Amino acid sequence: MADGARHHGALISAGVLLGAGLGGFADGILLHQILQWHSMLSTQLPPTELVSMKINMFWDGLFHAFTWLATVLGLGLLWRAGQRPEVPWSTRTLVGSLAIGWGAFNLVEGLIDHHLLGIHHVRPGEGQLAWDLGFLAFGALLVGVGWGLVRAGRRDTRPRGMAVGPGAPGRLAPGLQQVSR
Amino acid sequence: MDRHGAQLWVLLGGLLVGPPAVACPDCPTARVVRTSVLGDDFWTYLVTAVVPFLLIGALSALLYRIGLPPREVATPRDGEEPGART
Repeated sequence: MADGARHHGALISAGVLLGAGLGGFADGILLHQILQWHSMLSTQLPPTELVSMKINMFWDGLFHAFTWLATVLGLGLLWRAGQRPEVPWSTRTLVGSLAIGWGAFNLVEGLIDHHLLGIHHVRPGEGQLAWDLGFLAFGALLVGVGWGLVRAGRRDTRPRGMAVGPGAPGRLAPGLQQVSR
Repeated sequence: MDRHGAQLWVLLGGLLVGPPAVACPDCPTARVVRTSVLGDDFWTYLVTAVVPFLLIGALSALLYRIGLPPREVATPRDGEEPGART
């Protein structure tokens, strides 16, 4: 089984959760905190004075808590996938699934919160629709690039721990094959 | 837990809770914020915050299933806790 690793799903599902978590952190750090945009309830309660800012801060904090949880779960699944010899240890598959996770999260969050419920926008104010659409487009681009990488990674069958490079025979050493079974 | 362990936890807890309590004790602003956050819309906003993560979790589970090897290729280790067999 070591040279026929085929269970890409274990790596993809871990990468999607990790990507959503890391993408959520990028969103929270860059958009919420540094740029002071995209606060969770900014349409209902514009953060223009102390109380409304603190309420938005609470909900932003809850968003970060769920983001942290997604990251931890993704890390756990990645650790588990790394222990299974039938899971190909493919960089393309992992990076692609990270991109899918980040992009899918942007799409879901953008469609529900920005367009369906309208509880907040990426950058409230003039031109907010353009920012919201740009956010969705960025998400779709990430999903597209990720999907391409995951498809390319289907050719990778090398399990974790197998030697890489021109000198690598493409198979585990006899002792390691015993360990991998 | 031994005595030193308990003291360590009390110290860590104090460090965690102390500074915010000193910075903003039960002041009017904190009371207004608490009341607003825990108001009628609390559950609505909580569901709104959670739903995207639940959908991503469902997508992750779906992709795990799609990526499973065909039944004839599946190994006995599928669905088994890693490390259970040595």
